[in-house]
Amino acid sequence: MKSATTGTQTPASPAGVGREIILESVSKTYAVKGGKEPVTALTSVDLTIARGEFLSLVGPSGCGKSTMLNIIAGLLPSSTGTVRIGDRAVSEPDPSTGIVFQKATLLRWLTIEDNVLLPCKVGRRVDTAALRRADHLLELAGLADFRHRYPRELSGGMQQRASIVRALVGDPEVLLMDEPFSALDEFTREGLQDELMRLWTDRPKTVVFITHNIAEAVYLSDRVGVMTSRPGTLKEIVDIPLARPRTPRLRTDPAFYELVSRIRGLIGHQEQGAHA
Amino acid sequence: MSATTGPQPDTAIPLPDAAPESPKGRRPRGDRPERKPSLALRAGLPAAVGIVLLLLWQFVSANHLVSDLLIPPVDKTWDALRAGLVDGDWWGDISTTLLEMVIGFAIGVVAGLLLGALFAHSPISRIAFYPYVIALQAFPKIAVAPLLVVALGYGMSPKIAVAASLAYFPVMTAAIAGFTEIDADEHNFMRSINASRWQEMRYLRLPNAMSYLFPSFDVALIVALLGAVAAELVGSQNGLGYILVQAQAMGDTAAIFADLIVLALLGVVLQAIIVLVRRLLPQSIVPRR
Repeated sequence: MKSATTGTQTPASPAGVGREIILESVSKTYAVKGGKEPVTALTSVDLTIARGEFLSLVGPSGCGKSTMLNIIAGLLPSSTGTVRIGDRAVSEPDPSTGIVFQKATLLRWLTIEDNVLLPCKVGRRVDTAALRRADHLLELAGLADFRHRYPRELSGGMQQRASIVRALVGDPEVLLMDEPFSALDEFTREGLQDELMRLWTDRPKTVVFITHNIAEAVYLSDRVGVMTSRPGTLKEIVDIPLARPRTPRLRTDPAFYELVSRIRGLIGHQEQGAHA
Repeated sequence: MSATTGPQPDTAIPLPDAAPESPKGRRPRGDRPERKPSLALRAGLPAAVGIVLLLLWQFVSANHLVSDLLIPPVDKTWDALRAGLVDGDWWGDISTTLLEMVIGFAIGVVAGLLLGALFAHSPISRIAFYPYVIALQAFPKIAVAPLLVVALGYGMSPKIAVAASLAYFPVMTAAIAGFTEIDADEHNFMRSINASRWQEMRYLRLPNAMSYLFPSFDVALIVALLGAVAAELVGSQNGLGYILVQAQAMGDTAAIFADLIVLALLGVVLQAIIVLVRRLLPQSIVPRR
C-alpha cells in the first residue's frame, strides 16, 4: 500500500530509464544458534547505482552478493544502513522492482502467459498496457507460440526467458537478477545474454545482475562490482568502457579479455589475502 | 507376544532357497527391457483370473466341499443378485447407502480441507489440536456408531456422521502437506511480487495442494463407503448394510454374497469416477507433479 503511493509521488523519471539505487553503509549479520558471535554475511557497503545503469556483482560463493540483492529487493532486512530506490526507502518488495531468480520459479499450474501476467494480477495492474507489453515481450523472447503451454513443456532456457519476461511485464524501474543463467548450458547462456541485452536496450532500466561468471559480467555491464568472501565485502568497482551495443564478436576482443583477466586477478589476489 | 513373534523374522527371512536370484532390485535392467504388456494381456489376464475363481467357486459349492451356509452356490447368488439389481428390490437400499456415502464424503472433504488449511496456516492451532486429531484417528470410530444411532436415530444421519468422520482424515493430512510443502523459491517469488496471504493461498498454496488432494479423495471415498455400511449394520431400516443384517438373520448367504458384490462394484465404480475426473481436469486445476 504505502509503497504504491510513494511510487506515484515519485518525480517522473524519464520513462523506462530506471531509478537510482543508493546503498548507505548497508550490512548484514546473522545471529547463530548457540550464542556464538554473529556471522557477518556482508560488511558495510556504500554504493550508488546510476539510473539506467547495468551493474554486475561477481565474486565467489559466500561473498554476500545474493544477500545484497535480497536487501535491495526488500526480501531481506539489512542489519545496518539504508537502501533507497529513487526516493523510496526499501523496506519491503515493491512492484517497481522486477526480480529474476536462479530458478525460473514459474508456477506449474499456470500457462506461460498466465505466469508472465501473475505479478500484474497480484498487484491488480492488469490493463491494456500490461497486456500489450506481455505480447511484445513474449514476441521478443521468442515465446509467442508457447504462451498457452505449461512450464514443464518448455526447455530450461525457455523457462528462464519466460521468467525474465515475467519480471519485465510490469515495466519495472529496477531489474534484479540473481544468477539467472547459472543453471543453463554455455550456449543457451550466451544466447540469453544477448537476448537480455536486446530487452534492456529496448527499454533501459537500472539492472543489478549477480553472477559468478566474470565474462558474463563484463559482457553485460557498465560496471562490475568485485566481491570477496569471509567476510562478504564489495572490494572494488571496475568500469567496463566497452562500446554498446555489444555483440557476440566482443567475446573474442582483446579489450574484453583484458577486463576479464583484470577482474579475475582482483578476485584471485583477494582470495590469497594480498592487496590488489 | 513380542517374545514369540520377535525371533520369527530373523529365521524366516533367509529361509527361501530362491532368495539369491529373486530380489527384483538386483536384476540388471539391460537384460530385460521393460515392455508394456499388450492390451489383450492387460485385459485378458485379469478376466482369466476372474473366470478361474468363478469356476473354483462353482466347483467348491457344486461338490458341497464347504457348507452352503459359508459359501453359497453360484446360481443362488446370481439369483439374489438378479432379484436385487434387475428386479429392482435393492435399488432403494443402494441409493440410500450411496447417498449416505456421498454426503459423508462431501462433508469429510470439506472438513478435511478446512482443518488442513487451519493447521497449515496456524502452527499454534496445530500444536494445540493435532495430538487430539491423531488420537481420534487411532481410535476406532466405527465403535461410536451405536452411540450415534442412539443420538441421531435410525435414519441416514448417523451413517453420514460415521462416513464423514472416516473420510475427513486422509483429506486433512493431504491438505496439510499440500498447503505447507511449498517450493521455497516459488514462495520467495510470491513474496517478491508482494502477494498478500490470500493471494499466496489462491495462486500458490491451493493449486499446489490440488496435486496432493486428489489421491486422498480415492481413499476418502472408500472409507466413506465403509463407514456408511458399518453404521447401517448397527441399526438401520434400509441400505445395503441393512440388507446384510436381514440376510444374515435369515441365513441367506447367497444374498449376503450378492450384497457384497454390489458393494465391491460400487467402490470400484466410484473410484473410477474420481480417477476419470482427475484425468479430465486441466493441468491448471490438477497440476502434474
